[in-house]
Amino acid sequence: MSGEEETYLRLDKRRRRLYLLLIIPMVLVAIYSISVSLYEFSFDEAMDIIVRHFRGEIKDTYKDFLLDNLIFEGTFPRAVGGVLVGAILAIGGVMMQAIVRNPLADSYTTGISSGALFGVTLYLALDFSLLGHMGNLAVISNALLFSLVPCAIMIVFSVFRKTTPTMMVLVGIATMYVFSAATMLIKYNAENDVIQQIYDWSLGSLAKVTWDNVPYLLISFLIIMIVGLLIAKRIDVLTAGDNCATTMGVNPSLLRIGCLILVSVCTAIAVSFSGTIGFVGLIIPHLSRLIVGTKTSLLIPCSAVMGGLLLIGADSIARVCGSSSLPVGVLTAIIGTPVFLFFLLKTKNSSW
Amino acid sequence: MTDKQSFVDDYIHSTKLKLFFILMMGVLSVFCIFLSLSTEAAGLTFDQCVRYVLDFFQGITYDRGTPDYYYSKYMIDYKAPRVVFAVLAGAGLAVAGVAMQSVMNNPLADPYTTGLSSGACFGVALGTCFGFIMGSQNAFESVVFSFIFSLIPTTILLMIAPKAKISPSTLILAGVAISYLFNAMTTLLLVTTDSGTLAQVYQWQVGTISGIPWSNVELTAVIVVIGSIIIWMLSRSLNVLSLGDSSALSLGLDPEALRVACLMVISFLVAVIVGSAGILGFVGLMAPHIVRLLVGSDNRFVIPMAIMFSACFLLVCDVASLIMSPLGAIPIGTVVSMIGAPIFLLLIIRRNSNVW
Repeated sequence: MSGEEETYLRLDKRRRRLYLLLIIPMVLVAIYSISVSLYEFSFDEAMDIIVRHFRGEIKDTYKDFLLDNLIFEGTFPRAVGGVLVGAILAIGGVMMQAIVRNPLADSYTTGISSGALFGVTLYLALDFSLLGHMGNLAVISNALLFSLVPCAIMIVFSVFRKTTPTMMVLVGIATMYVFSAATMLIKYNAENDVIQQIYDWSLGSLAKVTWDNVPYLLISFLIIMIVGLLIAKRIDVLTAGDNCATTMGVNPSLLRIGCLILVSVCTAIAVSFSGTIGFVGLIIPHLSRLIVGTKTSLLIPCSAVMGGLLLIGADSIARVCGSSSLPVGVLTAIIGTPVFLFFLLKTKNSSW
Repeated sequence: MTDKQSFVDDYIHSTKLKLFFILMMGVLSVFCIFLSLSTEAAGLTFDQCVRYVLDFFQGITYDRGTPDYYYSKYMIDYKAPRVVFAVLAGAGLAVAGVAMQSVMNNPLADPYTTGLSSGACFGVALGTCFGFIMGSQNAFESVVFSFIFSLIPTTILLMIAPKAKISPSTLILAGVAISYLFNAMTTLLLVTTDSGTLAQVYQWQVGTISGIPWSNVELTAVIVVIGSIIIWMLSRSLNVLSLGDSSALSLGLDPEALRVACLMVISFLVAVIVGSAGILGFVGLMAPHIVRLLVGSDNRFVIPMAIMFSACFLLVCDVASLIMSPLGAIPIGTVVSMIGAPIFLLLIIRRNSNVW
């Protein structure tokens, strides 16, 4: 018995090491992404500028000044923000998939992102906000408020009706249609530049991430990561089934509602600054499961790292696509939909 | 014996009732047509609008240069094609919806939720970006492109539908995923083209029927009329198919052949409508459901009723969009999905009931 346990623990440790290794490529890609832009400058130049910036050396030429600006107001916060947004979405995906016991769930397919986007649109187009004109906070509060709508629909739906998880996702998608129709209606009363902004937002893009946004993203990331790790064991129990969970002293509906609200809140913050980037939260947990297995306490950090890696990698590619850059959401959708289809058709309808 | 007699009486009575409903719906449609003709019609009153249209049909022409001449021209060349197209689009989408729901055996299926519209939309975007389609003049080319690309989701649906007996919601999710993929690819195309093409495609994509030329309407009319007749003639077979594939087989019907044939017709219908007016979502989804509440689920009655119902629906949506913004800032597609999306949500939530 102790032998088996030892093997298990050793395997566990190896898995742990494996995902820690993933941090290295993530950091490397993130650093490399700093030098990727439509304006051409090399990686060496970018590093040189960063080093000199931190040393506080004077930017002597106009070119240096421009590059410095480009990096520290553009690509640097974008890299940091991208990693954080990817991590938040991926952890959100892990939790959603576990609590609704559905391989297709993530904050995008359950409609939470589109609710948040609707809130952002309301603020941008109609200046409607709970907190008045408080910049970032106003946007976040709006996104939060409306991301709770699909969340509430799902809770009500799952409490009052016996549902299959596929139907739950379908409800999420229907909610998404409702919100996107409403967003479309608002768009037609907006001015041209606002329309452009909303359009970019609805596709999901990291282009507007600035240093102002990074603290909010960081806080949201820390909250979802720490709380997620704290309740990881309970989530594990929940995946065994509601009855099982009750027997083991976990209140399934309470945990489910708590997780839903946590995911909504953190996703809303991410969406406020990056728009709806779909399918990251869907693919990453599945990929992570291939690496570390199904234990939530390992899945959460591993997904966070992989999510950051994927999003910043995709963003680096999207940035140099086309005549102007491409919103990263388009790229994740093209990668993500085949994966979604695969899992949809792979799952037997008896089990879901 | 009396039991049998009363059963027959009941049947005749209910058939009469259904026919009455269909007749009423027809009257309502005519009313909606004139309502839509006279809404925001350059200050013309209802009477005047009706008169100009009737005069046109009676062959009365006005002298060139008189106000009557211009009003008549405005009604016939600008308002009339729009209204006629709304009726045709409604009819085509309703037929497509009824047929789709029957052959897929799925209450949530319609050209929009299964990704057909998005495929067609991608086709038109591709044609426009590569210069094969210039605005709305090339009605025929748009239809060809949208038809070819609507066949891709159709093929995928045909491939996955019989496999592993997937549940209705799984099929719809697959359709939604396919439409995401096409939307993403359309966006990819749009981002890489010049802003002129982008504006052209974008405006058309959201679903608008204002300023449609007669040439598009004629092409649409031909395909919608032929398609509707084919589907209506197949309605008995569709009734049988809704019992399930094995029952259909034992009653001497080849379900696969019927499915392929119907989906071909549906693709044509969707292609011609999407090619001229962009995506009008959810029309084909909800019309059959609402109609079934009135006339039951016999496709012979559902099809004509759904045609008239969704024609009325599109006309009312058109009127609503004109009233909300007389300059045409709100396209009809927005109004349609504003009403259709909540109904879709409602249908999913109360799907356990056995109406469908």
